[in-house]
Amino acid sequence: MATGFLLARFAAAGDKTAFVEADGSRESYAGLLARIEAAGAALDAAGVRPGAAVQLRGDFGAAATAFLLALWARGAAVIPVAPVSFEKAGEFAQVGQAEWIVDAASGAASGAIAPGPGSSEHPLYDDLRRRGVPGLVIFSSGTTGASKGAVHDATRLLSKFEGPGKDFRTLAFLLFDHIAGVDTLLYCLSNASTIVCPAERTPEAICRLIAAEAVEVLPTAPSFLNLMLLSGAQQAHDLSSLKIVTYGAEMMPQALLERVAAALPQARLVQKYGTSEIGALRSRSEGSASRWIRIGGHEDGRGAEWRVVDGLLEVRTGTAMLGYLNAPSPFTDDGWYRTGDRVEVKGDMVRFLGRDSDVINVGGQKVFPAEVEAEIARLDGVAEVAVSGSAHPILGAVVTARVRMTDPGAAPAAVRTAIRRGLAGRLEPYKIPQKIEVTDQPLVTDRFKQRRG
Amino acid sequence: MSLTYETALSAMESAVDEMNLSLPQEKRLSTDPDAVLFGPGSQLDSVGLVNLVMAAEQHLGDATGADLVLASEAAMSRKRSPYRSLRALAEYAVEVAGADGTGEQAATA
Repeated sequence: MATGFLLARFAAAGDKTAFVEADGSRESYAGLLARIEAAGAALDAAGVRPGAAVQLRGDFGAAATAFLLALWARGAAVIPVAPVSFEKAGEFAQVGQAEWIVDAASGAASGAIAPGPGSSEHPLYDDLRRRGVPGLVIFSSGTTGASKGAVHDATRLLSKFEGPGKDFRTLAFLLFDHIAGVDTLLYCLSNASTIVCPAERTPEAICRLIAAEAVEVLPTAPSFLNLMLLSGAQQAHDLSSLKIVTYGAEMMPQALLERVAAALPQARLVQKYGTSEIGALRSRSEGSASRWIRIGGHEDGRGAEWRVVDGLLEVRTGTAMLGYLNAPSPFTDDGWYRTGDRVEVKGDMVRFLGRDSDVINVGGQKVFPAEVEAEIARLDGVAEVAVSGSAHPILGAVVTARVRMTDPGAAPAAVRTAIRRGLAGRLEPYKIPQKIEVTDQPLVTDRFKQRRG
Repeated sequence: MSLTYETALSAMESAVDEMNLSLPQEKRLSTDPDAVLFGPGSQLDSVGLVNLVMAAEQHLGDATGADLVLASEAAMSRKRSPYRSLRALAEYAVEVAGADGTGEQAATA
């Protein structure tokens, strides 16, 4: 069983705290084992068959982790959905052919399992079932606004953790349904470490939690570190327990990196790299104040290879996904994944320069202009819209919409408000343009190419 | 270019009013110039802070006809954050505007 080595480690850890839950309560590794057993019994009682596609709604904590591992033990393809993505849960269940929906957040172990809209049918799921291995489906934004589901063989992701790692009290800052969040969870579980779950992700709440729980590792994003320094929260709390701060998901400005290094002198700052498609790669920063990193270490024979083609990074790794549920394979014929990340190379290290596409990275979250344009174009009075990204020192990048209204006399402030209101509830908050410019100029060139820039 | 503190503060208040129109009741921001804007106890998250700063830049632009930059590496490296209150942000805007007409020069000064 793919999760067998984890269960053995949990049993050995016994009374050690596995989770400091978001409400402050504790669950031990022995308690987690009991919950996994109860979750498994509930799944069996509900009739969830081996190899089914199952959506798991929940967040970091013993409840969702127990279901994740119980589902994997039954060969399920698990589609995690974190609270920030609950508004998309229905779409993900459809695309993912989820035959069952497990709501780990609901509390009741057995009452939380309900039939889903899908049939568990997909050639990639057939492949998993044929090999008798569990799966993991990670959704990421697609260029047209439809989310793409990346199907992983969970045993490949787990195999990275079979060797011993280090035991650190770790704050689960990243998201339960992102590849880096799952990577953090599995790393901690495989070393029977204590995982500290935040109730909210504001600088104040996170710094308070680090101090109260003596957190040693904070996996986070450059924009959070920037906000933390801006809020001054790091001065109000004792963060001396922090040994390692990892960051990824977006560009780290050199000046910010140096400010973080100065503010947290005792912590090692480590850049991480990964994508929904290739998983989280092993990496090592040249130094705390350096953006040069070595990726895909080969020390355990399971590392990744990389190469640079026309300035863009390509990666080939055993932890790569099998494919998308709902999009063509992005791999070359010989298995290289084109990341779209522009890099420079120095010896065996790379440094990330930015993305080679329209994608806008707002504080670590991907935004595709086409999705935002489609939503704005539906609003009353909008004649044309073009969405682009612009660099911004606080969040790395922001979403800028240029709109032309059918009424050329519309007051800009009123237009901005109407657009923000019209998008509320239809798009995640970070996708709603932070900057809205009203123009009376055409936004489409005479070749019908949008003027986004 | 001259920008008075009163004009700057009024632009900040307009920015808050504009933001509040699309925020639910419990998330609305205060126009009290000394309330904590971004920091312990504040209602703003990171995207909210950026929205507010950009709305403030747009209202300052409407009021003065100039492009003032309130979010910059220089603003963020300050020992006391200009985003701690509306008063601090208005004072920072006056400072940026006063530095020989362009925000960029002030921001790097």
